[in-house]
Amino acid sequence: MRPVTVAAIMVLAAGMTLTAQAQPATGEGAEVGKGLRPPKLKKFVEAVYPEDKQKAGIGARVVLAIDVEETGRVGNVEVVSSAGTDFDAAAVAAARQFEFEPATLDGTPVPVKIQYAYKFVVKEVMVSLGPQINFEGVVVNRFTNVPPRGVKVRIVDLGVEALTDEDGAFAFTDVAPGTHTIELSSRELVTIKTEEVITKGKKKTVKYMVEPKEDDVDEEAVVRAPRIKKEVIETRVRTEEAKRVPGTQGDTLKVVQNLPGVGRSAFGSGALIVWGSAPQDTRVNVDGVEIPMLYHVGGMRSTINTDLVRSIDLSPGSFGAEYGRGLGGLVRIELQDPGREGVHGYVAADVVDTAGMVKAAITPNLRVAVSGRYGYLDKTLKTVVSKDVGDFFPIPRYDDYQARASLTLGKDEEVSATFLASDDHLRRAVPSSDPLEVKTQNTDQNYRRLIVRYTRLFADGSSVAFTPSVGYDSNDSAWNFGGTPLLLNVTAWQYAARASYRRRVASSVVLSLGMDFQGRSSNAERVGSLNLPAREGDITVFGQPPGSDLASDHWKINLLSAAPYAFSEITIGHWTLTPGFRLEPTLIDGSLELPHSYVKPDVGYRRMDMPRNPLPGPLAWMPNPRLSLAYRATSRLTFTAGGGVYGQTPAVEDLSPVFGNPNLTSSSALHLSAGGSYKLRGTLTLETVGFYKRLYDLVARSGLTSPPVGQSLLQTGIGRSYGGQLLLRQELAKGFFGWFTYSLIRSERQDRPKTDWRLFDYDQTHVLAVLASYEITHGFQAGARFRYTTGAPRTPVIGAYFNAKDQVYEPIYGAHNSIRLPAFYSLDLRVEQAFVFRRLKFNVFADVQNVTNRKNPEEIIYSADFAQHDYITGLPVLAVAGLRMEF
Amino acid sequence: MKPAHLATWFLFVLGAACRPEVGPPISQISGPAILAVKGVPAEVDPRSANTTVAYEALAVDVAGRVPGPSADITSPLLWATCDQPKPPTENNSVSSSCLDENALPGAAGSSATTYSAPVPVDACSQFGPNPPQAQPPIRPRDADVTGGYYLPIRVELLVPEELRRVSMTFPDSLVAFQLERIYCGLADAPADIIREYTANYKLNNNPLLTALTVGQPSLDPVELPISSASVASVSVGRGQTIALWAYWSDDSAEPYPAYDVIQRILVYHPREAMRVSWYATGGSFEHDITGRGENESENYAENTWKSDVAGLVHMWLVLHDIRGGTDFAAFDFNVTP
Repeated sequence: MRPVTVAAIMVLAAGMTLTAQAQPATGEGAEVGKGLRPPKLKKFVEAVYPEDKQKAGIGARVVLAIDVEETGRVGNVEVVSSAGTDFDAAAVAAARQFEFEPATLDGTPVPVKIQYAYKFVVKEVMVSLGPQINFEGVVVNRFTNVPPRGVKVRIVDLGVEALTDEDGAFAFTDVAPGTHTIELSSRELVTIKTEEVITKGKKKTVKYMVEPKEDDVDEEAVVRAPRIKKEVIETRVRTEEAKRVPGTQGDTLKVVQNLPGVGRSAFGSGALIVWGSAPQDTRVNVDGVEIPMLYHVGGMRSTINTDLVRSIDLSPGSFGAEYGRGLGGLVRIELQDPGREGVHGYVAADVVDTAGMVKAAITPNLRVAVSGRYGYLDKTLKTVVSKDVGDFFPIPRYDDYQARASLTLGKDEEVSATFLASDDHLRRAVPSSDPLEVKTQNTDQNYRRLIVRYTRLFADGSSVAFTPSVGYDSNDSAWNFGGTPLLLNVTAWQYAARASYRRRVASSVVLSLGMDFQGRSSNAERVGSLNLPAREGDITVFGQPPGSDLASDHWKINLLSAAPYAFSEITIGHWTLTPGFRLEPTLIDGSLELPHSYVKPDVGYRRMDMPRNPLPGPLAWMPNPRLSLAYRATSRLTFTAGGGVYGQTPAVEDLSPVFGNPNLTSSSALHLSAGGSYKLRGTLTLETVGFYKRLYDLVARSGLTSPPVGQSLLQTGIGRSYGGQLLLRQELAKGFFGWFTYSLIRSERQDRPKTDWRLFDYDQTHVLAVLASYEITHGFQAGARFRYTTGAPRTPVIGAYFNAKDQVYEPIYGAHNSIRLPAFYSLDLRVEQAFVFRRLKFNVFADVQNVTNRKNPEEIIYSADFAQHDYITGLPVLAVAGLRMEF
Repeated sequence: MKPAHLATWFLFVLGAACRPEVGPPISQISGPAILAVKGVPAEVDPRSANTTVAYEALAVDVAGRVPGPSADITSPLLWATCDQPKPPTENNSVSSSCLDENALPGAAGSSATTYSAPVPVDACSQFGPNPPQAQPPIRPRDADVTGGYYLPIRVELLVPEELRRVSMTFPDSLVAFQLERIYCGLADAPADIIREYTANYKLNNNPLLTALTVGQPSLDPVELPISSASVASVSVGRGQTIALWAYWSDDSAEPYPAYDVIQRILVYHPREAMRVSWYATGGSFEHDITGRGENESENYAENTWKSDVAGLVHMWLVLHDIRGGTDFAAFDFNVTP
């Protein structure tokens, strides 16, 4: 901090005491009495301060008697009380030059004599010592406390500006006293305007805590009002918080599993269950581009390097018109700029995997980053738990790698290219003395994405974004059960382009228009039993052997969907409305309408499909509406409500004429939600939300004993889920963050008309999570997480019969999903120590899961004759330690 | 394919791959059980003149084979032919409607353990690849990996109250199903392959157990003959681990052609895979089921059994070929103190 020198400027005006004192009239003898108004000084003349007295700092008071004539001019002046010759003479000389408004008597000017005390006060003269800093401060990232560089701090009304240095500091000199508008702006930060009062003679020192800028946020909205949430229900977690959540091993994206409305996925699945929706109904978007999987198979790691991620948003429902093609929730991941200076990176290793990243600013405008990860949990897990853990829960070998380049084209104009890749592989061979129990497994699951993103922010505040992308997904699974093959291969090319334009069309209206195009060209092959893989709603038990029936199909599906959308953000007083619509027509082009036949040529099909609104008549085919409302009751209290209609095209696997139904159309869902949030303190917020989802045209197995050809699956299913969630959240402040969340959810399905409603396979009535992390001392953090969830529904086994051909018992079931697994709860801890050695920063962490060694049941396992049962339990206490080195 | 689907599949199949030990092994007989049903012939062409199949069940108790004069269970087995294929909503091998005693009451056979019934002439339309004519057309049934289709035969063992246990099929009875193989030819394949298949396919025959060889420490192996008229017995010492070899006749593992739905070619399997299920009222086996794959030419399966307590132990062997053919045999082991 620069040295502070404050000029002591004392300016004291010459003291002038005017005392109007009624005097007896002389001459004409005017009486001063009732109706007399004293004279009023119009012109004051400063007396000449005797020089020697002034230098000596001597003050004085001279009382004069002044005759004020009826014209207001000064007549005779006499010294009544002397302060010395020089003071007296100076005072008299000055007084003679005074001018008055004359005294009046009943409105008539009259001459009067008054007494006047002239004070001589030593005047401290202002001495300029050169320019002085009287306004300074520092700018830091609100979440990391790290000062961003190059932030422009501008005093708007004075037209002066300064840039922050490497410590985030800035300073201004000789800022005029008064209230000034201060603007902080940077390419990486949300623009902020605030007011500061500069007091004369005092220095103002401030600390601004700023947030990184978000993509596609209207700058004007940020500047003038709190950011309007496009999604009525949305939980955003900054990576700085997410990295510290216990139980996630520092994997930012795994924090999604701890957010409100999200059910717990069973160990080994990593499925996202939000607001009672099926995992495959929730979409994951990276910079607006859909990816097939957020987590590697097994759920231990996300498929995207954490350090590429700026933020994660989860909308469990009621999201806006920008997104669609999913009945469930929406996860949006924003990638961040690789960094603007130098070469940086990290290497990290723990018992799960090893990862690394290098990022560099090739030029100030061109930044690149490459990263990768290689997992070996399949090996390390066997050293701490039973050797055959992989027999029950698959832990594939996985890897992922990414590359990203950002190029600044101009002011507020940028283009980026991102490549994402993820692979999961599993190879197993299970020997057995029983030839029908000899099994092999080969599974490979991969995806690739190349995403180009162009963004520009215009001077008028409008913005455009264009995001073309291409991707390839591959899921190959080949099994052999004692000679019975099971095969499921689905590969798909995905071509997508998303374009959006956003502009403020009126002072309170922001309009967004966009087009979301997606094409998927899929090639599918499946061999095996009609009942495998099991569908949601299938009645089965864990470990039941697949059926011996064997079917085969090979089909191709092209899906072309061009979805125009529009929405506007309208602010009226305390209300913010975001109405929108989305039209999602999809061309479905299939290679097989009927099973392949050797006597008839294959016949394909092509049809248009569109998600229907749950409305009668033509309204059903109108664009799907979306609406969100926010009412800001006070600066702390906001009420929200929202809803919309959402669609989802049938899964490629379900369009097989052998295993499914090629005539399936889109399913649709109605989301409704309402809630409120109350800001208890600056970073402490309480949110509650209630929701209702209704699902239409869900795909379910045919209930017929002998279904027609190509109709093994039908769209006879409907569903509903409803409940509420509560979130008390302390955002990162002073090293502490945490949240408490509780969700009460019930999700049900009816597979066919006139059948009973049943619990959804993933239904979890109570979901509770409490977590907190605190930086106890500089560089040392500790955190804890507690989770509780109701066990998932299961169908009880009430008996068994013997299959004499295969020499196995087969179960007889009770009511569908009428029992549950026991509840799950787990306490996880995390400690982390950061330290700097020369130019390297190290982080050592230990993440201990299930500290209490709770044997959480994950599945019911039965004896061979189903007479007894037990539970397969999840992970015991498991400590994951790791080291991260940054440079 | 969505990852969630895949994960579900992983869990499902891996569970099938390795089942943790819960409860006693299936080879341990501690109460009434139906272990096997043998149909003669093992495979029937429903379009042939004679489709009658003679079924014989192997039902046992700790006291030996039941129903029988020396056992506690005297009620004859009840039999029924189920004509309902399983719907796609069910994962078991037979329809749940086949368990409905009201719709499908059982009947006793000519003896306590046997039953004869014809294979319905429309079996291939109900359970095979030739569905009945209808509009829209009915989806044909899928064959198993050997090209087989199966007719479910239900057999029910009434259990006296004093022998009932938790989680029986029904409170008062045990149910088993024999899946009788029916020949329906090859459907949905190129014409030349169908012709080749038809010309070369031979109906399955039941395999034949020929002997059980018992190897005891320090003793020469003893071959126990198999006879339908009597039960061979052998004495073994308590606590000993006994080596067992179950032999079958040379022609039991038959060659057969099957259509490979992946490669879409006709594959000639050199022999059937064979499985031997081991059951005993005492002691413990190393494996519940042992066998030979189709590429193994040996005509025996081996196992070990450890006797635990002194006394008479009943042992049963059930031999299966992969096409559903069955044979079984019984032995008595006198475990000496």
